[in-house]
Amino acid sequence: MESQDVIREEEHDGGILIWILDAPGSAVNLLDDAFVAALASRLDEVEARRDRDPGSVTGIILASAKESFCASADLETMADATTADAQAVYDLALGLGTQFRRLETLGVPVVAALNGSALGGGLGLALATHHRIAVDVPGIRFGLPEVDFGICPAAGGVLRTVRLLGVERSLDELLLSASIMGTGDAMQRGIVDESVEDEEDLLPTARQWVLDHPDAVQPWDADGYEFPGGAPRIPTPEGPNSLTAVLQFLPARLRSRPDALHNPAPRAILAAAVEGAQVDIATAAAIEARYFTQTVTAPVSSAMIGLRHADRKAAGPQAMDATTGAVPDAATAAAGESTPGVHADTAEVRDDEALDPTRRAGPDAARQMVADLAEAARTAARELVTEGMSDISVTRAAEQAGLSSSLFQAIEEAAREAVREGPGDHGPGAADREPAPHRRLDTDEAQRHLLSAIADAGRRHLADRNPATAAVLNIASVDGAGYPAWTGGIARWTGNR
Amino acid sequence: MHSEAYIYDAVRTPRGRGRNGALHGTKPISLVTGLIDALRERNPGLDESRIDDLILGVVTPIGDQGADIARIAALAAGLPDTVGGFQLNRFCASALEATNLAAAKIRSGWEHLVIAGGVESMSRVPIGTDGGAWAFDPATSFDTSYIPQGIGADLIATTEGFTREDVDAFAVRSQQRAAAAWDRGHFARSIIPVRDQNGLVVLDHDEHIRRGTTVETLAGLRPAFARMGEDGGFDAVALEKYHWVKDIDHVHTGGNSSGIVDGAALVLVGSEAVGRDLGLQPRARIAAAAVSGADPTIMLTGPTPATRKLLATADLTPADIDLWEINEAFASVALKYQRDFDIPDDRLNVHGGAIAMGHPLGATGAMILGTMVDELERTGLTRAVVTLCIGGGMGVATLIERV
Repeated sequence: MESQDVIREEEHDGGILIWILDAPGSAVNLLDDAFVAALASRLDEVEARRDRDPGSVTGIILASAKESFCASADLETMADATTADAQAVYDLALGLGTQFRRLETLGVPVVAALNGSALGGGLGLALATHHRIAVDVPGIRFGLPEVDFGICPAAGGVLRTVRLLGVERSLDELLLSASIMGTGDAMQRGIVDESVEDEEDLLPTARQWVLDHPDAVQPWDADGYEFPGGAPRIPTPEGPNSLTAVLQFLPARLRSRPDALHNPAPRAILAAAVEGAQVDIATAAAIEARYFTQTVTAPVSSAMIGLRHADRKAAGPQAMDATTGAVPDAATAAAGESTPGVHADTAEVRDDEALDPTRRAGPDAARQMVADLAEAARTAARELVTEGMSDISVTRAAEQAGLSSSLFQAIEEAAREAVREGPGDHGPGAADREPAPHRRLDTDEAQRHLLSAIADAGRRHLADRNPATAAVLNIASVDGAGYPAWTGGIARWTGNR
Repeated sequence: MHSEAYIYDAVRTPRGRGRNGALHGTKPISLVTGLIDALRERNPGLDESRIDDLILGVVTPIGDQGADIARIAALAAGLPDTVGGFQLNRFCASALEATNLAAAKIRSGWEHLVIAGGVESMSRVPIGTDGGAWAFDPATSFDTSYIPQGIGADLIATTEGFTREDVDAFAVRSQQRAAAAWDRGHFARSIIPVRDQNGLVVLDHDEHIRRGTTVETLAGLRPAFARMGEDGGFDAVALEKYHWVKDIDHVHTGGNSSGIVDGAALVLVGSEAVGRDLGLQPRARIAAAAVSGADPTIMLTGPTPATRKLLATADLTPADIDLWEINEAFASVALKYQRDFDIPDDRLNVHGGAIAMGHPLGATGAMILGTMVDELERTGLTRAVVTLCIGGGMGVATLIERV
């Protein structure tokens, strides 16, 4: 495949280049090795032309020939990546970082014409331009949802949002919250700069912006740039700045996430944000690429991509509806939504796979399965109390495992009841004086016991009487029952993480 | 060649209150040079060319206290060029570590006469201003479950069942004992007033003591670490490990925690031979020293394993120890240590401690060691254990014996 095909070029009056992202044979534009090569080659051409004939290129507009603007790196490749692939993953991330930096420092205004969604790395690309114009239509989505896939964003998703919004805001509003926004919200948060109602107005508006801003530079490359909220630095006798004052609280706050102890992405994102804010952009890109590589090659990202991408594809929306018949509204909504914009091909799945009856689980079966999982959770909780753990410790173990909703409630109630009914010292302060056998400073064994007992019950279900596929089982266990997403669902739990 | 390591002298400055205190205008290097001058005056036979090294503990070694203040203080004090200078950091036990290191070198036969101690001007170089990965690098902080030590102190109180009344009562005891010790002149032998360049006294007493402190006056103080623990998320970090604890009881306040002060202390440590040569009188023998780590999150329980190691090294039991001195970083730390070794109340921190007088981080270890040297002499008792809890979850302990 020629790189010219991945990014087509059109030239408009006055030396404005339109680079049209149009990956051949794919429904979406992916940030893969071919894209890096294509972008590098386009940048080489522009630089050579500029050297030959200064002033012949006056601006660049990035546009897309697909329904969406640009997606992330290929999810299936990332799901398969192990530590053996670290070099290739790192090279891709650093390659994107390097080319994006070239783009924003080319010396001509660069505009992103956002005709469709830009999520993950696709938004990273848009952030490397000087101006983002989006069509304001329903269904268009922007955001950095990587954390929900167990991944730390690469391609400048961390380092540019941090420089645009500040460390705290970028973490709270985008990186750790995985917020998905429409054009209006994205503009409010400063992620998108301008909107148009009709797609037809995109290119003319972009062209006008280029003409009006011949000297455009990124805020962080402009003279007098100040890091929003302050860059991390140690407190000095003159006193801490606003960020340093909260810096030591950030890791503690991170722990309030239900996935904090098992999904490596939140920690990696916080670290990449803070460490990257202390250095120049090229170094920050390398730091970000290292954390990206660490998370992509870890098992949790494979499990979470499997759950949120492969399973949804395999289960199909019909099966999903059936599964969520037994679960609360929020979970129904979550399950009904396709993988957040990372791939646009879920629609195809709907047509051919959803009709396969073996992929469908009836609402009753799903309801029964969720009830069985809760019963297994109750039994496991009672066993832990019998072994000498307090109900407080059992509940903490459930929290630390990331168990939520009906499974968490089942464990909490069962542990409390078991303690009340069981023998022993449960007077005031008794819990603080935990019996010696359980006075170890982690709940690892208890977490494993709870997760394994529930998974065993689920798998029995799968084997004995439920026609659901493993995919449906995984989705139902997480979205319906509150089994932790970082496991990838009960059918994926192997107990050795 | 093996030699005993003897303490020939021990001196300290009074401790100046950290905020708006009398020593805020005195540079840390001046605190040290003033004490070196005092050692000269008190020990006329001290041949300075025999001194191998000046080892100083400093916990925040930047600014006024940066760039190896020990070597520069040796130069500024006019010690011979041949005297080295070495700054070390074992957080709160730095000065005791400096003394232990001096003793170890002397016992090895490689060195013969060392001035050890520490200095900390907390009003001029505030705690935490040297940054560091533990609190300020998110990946490290996350992986090692960092919490500020005050929350660790509150967690000790919670797991040990010490109430607010218990820790406040201990604080009152510290204040009363420190005031009584001053009134009876028990610190007189080691206190060296801080003087300015004209010889005028800047401070001649521990400025942080609050006479008349009662459990009632302390009861009105607000818990110092509750907000940080609850809103800051640190309680949750601690309870992740201490999962059987329902909630942390935040009992510590400014009134039952160590005070923020300025001060310095020095100990003259030497071999038997050098003392004989220079006509110095040994006052105590550094019989053993030990260090141990402990859980970093509760952080302040290190003195117990360090002391167990120390006693094992010396082949002694707690019953063999006459006096115990633990730095009063927080009341719960001292109370837990007392419980762990079943120490009678009249043998522990007999002249009060850092809750009353303050804790100049890098210097405290040498200060309380000096207090014990004086007290063994005054009472005719034999053995004392000196220990401090340490940031990051450590403890250092030293055994001294009167000679």
